[in-house]
Amino acid sequence: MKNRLKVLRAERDWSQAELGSRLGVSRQAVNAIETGKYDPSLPLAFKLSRLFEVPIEAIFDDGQGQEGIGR
Amino acid sequence: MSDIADVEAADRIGKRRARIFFLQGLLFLMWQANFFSSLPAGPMRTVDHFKISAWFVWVLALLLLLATGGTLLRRPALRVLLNDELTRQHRTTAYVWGFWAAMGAGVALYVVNLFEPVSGREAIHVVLSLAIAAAILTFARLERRGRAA
Repeated sequence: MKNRLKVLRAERDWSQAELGSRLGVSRQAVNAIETGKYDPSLPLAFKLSRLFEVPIEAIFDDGQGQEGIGR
Repeated sequence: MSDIADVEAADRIGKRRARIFFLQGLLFLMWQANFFSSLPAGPMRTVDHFKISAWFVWVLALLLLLATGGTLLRRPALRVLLNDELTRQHRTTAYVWGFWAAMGAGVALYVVNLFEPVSGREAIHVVLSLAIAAAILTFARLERRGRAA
């Protein structure tokens, strides 16, 4: 899944380790999410959303937009 | 929220853990190859009982390592970071590979047993060894790949 995590992190000038410490996960996990190798759990996605103060869909993009809803 | 020093320490420990797990898996497989190539034709000798006991202890140790991620003696803060959701996913994938290795070994042993008798203990030895080696090596591979980035 595509995401804007790297951009959001860069805007705050945080390292991967720093973001990991704020989320309570390893630097490896942050890197895996940023590179799209790993989709975070819903609780972690909410944590990210609260940390960056943006909605989840402003961080993650599943490429479906609103089209997939209700089908 | 964790301490940034803990995150960096977890990163270092995680890399070391991946290397150790890989080495353990490899050594375990090599030990099994050696064990099966030198199976006694006659009754079990003392040295054979010792080898089997050593294998059994090693199996239990590897299972404990896999289940805990080798973090039992670490501080709770480090344990959380070394067992975060990504590592838990790696462990789940490792279990899946272990399961399929066990199934593969079971099928292979069933076929072999049609032509040559295989004792129950030998069959369990093969199934357990392959399943654990597959799981440990898969976990090590996934962790190494993740930590290398």
